[in-house]
Amino acid sequence: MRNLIFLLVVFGGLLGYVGYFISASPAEARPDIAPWETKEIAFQAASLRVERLLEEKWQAEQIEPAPKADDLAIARRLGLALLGSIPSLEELRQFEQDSRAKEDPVQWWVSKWIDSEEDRRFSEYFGERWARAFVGNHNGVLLLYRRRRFVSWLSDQLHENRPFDLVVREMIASDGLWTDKPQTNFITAAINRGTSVKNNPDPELLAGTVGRAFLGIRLDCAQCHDHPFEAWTQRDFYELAAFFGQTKTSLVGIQDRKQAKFKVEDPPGSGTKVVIEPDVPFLGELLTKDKSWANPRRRLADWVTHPENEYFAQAIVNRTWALMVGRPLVEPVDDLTSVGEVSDLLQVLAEEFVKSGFDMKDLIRLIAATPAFQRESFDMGPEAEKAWASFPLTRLRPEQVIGGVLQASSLQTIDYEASFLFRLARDFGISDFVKRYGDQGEEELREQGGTIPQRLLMMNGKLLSEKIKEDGSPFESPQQLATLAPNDAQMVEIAYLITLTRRPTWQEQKYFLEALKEKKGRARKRALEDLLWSLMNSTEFSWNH
Amino acid sequence: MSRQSASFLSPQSDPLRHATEHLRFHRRRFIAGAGAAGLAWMNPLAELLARDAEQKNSQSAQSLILIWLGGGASQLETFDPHPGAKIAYGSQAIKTSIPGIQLATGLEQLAGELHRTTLIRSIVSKEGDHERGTYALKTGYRPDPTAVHPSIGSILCHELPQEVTRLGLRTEIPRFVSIMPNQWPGRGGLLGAEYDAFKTYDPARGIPDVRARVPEDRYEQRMTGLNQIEQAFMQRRRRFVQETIHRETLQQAHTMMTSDQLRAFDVTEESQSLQDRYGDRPFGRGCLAARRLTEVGVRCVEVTLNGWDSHANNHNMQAEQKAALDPAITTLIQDLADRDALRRTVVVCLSEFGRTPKLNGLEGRDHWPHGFSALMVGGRFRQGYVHGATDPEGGKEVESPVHVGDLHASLLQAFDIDYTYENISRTQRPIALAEGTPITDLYQ
Repeated sequence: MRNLIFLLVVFGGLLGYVGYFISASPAEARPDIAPWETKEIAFQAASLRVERLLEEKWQAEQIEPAPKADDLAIARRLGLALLGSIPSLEELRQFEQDSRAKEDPVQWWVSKWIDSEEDRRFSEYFGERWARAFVGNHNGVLLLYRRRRFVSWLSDQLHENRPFDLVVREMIASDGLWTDKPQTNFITAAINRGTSVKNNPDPELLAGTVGRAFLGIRLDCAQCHDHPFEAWTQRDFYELAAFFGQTKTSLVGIQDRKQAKFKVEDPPGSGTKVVIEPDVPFLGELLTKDKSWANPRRRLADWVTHPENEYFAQAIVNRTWALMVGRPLVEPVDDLTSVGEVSDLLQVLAEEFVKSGFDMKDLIRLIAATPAFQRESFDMGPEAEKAWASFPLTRLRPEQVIGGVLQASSLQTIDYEASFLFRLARDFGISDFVKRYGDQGEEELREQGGTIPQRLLMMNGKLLSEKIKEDGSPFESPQQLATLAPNDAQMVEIAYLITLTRRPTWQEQKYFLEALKEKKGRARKRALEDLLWSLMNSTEFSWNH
Repeated sequence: MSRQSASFLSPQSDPLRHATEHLRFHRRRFIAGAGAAGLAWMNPLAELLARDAEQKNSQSAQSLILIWLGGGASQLETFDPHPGAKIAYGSQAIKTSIPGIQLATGLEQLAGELHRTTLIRSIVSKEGDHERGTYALKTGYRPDPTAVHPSIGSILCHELPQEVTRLGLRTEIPRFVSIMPNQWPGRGGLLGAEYDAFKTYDPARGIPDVRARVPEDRYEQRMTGLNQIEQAFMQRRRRFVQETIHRETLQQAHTMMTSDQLRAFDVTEESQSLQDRYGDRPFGRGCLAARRLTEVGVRCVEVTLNGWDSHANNHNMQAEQKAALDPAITTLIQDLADRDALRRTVVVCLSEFGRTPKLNGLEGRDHWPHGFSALMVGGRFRQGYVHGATDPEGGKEVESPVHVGDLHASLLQAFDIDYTYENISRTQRPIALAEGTPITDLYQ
């Protein structure tokens, strides 16, 4: 009996709470905006510089940019980019009721999500995305590689906003055990996955990753032949690999063995091996000449992250842009040099990133503040598309689609306060969904069309149909909407808000009100289920826009 | 330009050839184009070209059934026994229908049909890890950080048309199906995710997600509602939205859901006695479904039988899997032969690698990519032919080695697909369909 009363109280309280979003009565402002006054002036200057650059370009090329996207569309983009999910109704209501949000809606959303002390959705999602670039998504060698530890270490760095150059430096140069120093998993991820050595980190594979992830160049093409278009030679590649030539696994973890030499067959197949000394392919003046250091990786790490090594900042900025916008500034994301000149937008953003002290959160804010990020995704012609005068339509990753489905099924923000058991069940559902939807692994930033199994999964799959079904859980949005929405118009509007983060057009409103007309009880719930199905199977739901 | 040595074998003046060259060029560009990958399958040029390829030789194979022994079958306990040698560690062998050739015990049924097959005992790979080995054997290439190579099944779908003139139909269900895949079903790679294998499980469980959850009238209702939403979104975005081909994919999914061809997955339509012969197991049903699928134009079916990774207790583990393999693969061969379908259907039985000649301390065998076996049946592969041999002492040298690239070139050749044809990776690197050379001894 006491349990029953307890349940009634909890349930009643919850209904009251949820009812509160639905009715959207004005409420007191909630003090959940973190202060970001520090560095404000520098940030404003940078932001203005990027804005001018884009606007001048559009003017010079006589491009008519798409109109500014409305606040909700931008909130959706930001949610998908930063959390891998869409905003909840709870968050949308907070936004609408907070007078400070109107002053700078974009920064309000960004700050809410990336500066929060307790909400780790951003750091976890972004950590996973960056991990794809650094170590891929394979499980590597048993015992010597712990991907989860690496990702959670990376998430911590993002959460605390450690300067990104330091984060990268630690990945390249750290010694120690992969369990105790998670950053060394960057090195152990390369055990037995390359071709040059066995049971130790593969120097050639690591050189390839350093090139693509940290410098935006594909030196590993030079692994087999001199690069056809670039200045890189096979020798450049092997010299870079030589920085990892002494890196070995031992009882105390990753360590460098001074006496080890990096040898390569030259010419290939001849059987004669020559010793290659570590060197960098360009900007040699930035490499410290002091070789007395215990560990050649430290020299490499300092060179890679040197503020004057513009390749580094550009590679990081290009990928961050891709994570936020869905498409990199320069394609492919890991090969900046193949297209000739780097775009001036990339150059300016990279300069500002260096100036900020490789501040990742500042970079995110800066990208969100660009006029490019805030355009509508209208077709203004191919020239406008090229000049970022309209926001591109890109396919969402499976995590973002499932994130959207799960969030839409709850009026409250899910995740960071969710119980362990809930998260466990959810994570299992997600991994199954992601597997079936098709995980593109390291290729995830490549543009892809949709596939038939993806459509089948959304049309007929168990997960989505359980989330929208007419007799589903009373804690999920369909039931709450059906019982609590004061009228059909409100119900339709909220269904749109929780799935597409916008309000219906009047034609849509008219159509769906007609479909609901004079329906009561189960019939009404069914019509709502159909509406939610249609919303979640739309292009708009599965594509970023 | 894109073609290598093979091109001068055909007359330069052939106008169709000329047109085809032209089309190929466009197709290459088309695949390389960013964002357009999703459209590749419906490119009419590609379709035309593929049809041309099919008509070129009505004698060429049309479908591939890939029996995948996941985990790494032991060549010594299956196709390449060395009875009496030290490396056999007591494993016995039996006579087969090819005089002088033996198989390991446990494959008694297959032994009676061996005269229909080509047995390669000298596959050589460089990958000793499950994931990398699977990649190598399914794509013909070693894993490469700058490009994902398409698997053989994806290549067949890309090169062969959706219209099957022989059957007078257009295939409405996925043309590359992986039945009971492990973690690594074949992928489209640089051809695009739409060439990934369609994953399905024990045919007795039905096919995932193909049944609408609501009756047809309600489904119509939902689609009409969806149309409203699409119309709103299309405003000022028409071109962008068209480029997503979301609507077409949705339409195709629906075509599949309502297609009669889905019955190909339903093995209970076959006689009980035939079902029994395949074996009342998921794998037996998988092999039977594979045959049925090829009859509606499916180009490649992978049927996986896992559980061969015998690091301990090798002999027993291998025996258990053989009990599932033997009836299913033998019946599949006989069934195809009875239907006169062996000419157009190639069956290949393959693993990611073999197992070590030496038994370890746990009486297990470990990974061994240096010489293992593949069994091929059908198409123009020879009947009753054994190619290559491993060292009875357990050394790494093999007689007449067949490298993974050669195996793929040989397979593509059996489908009359020009294995030297090059796709362009997104790093602008030309990548041939197969990097090896066909082994001519394998053909009739």
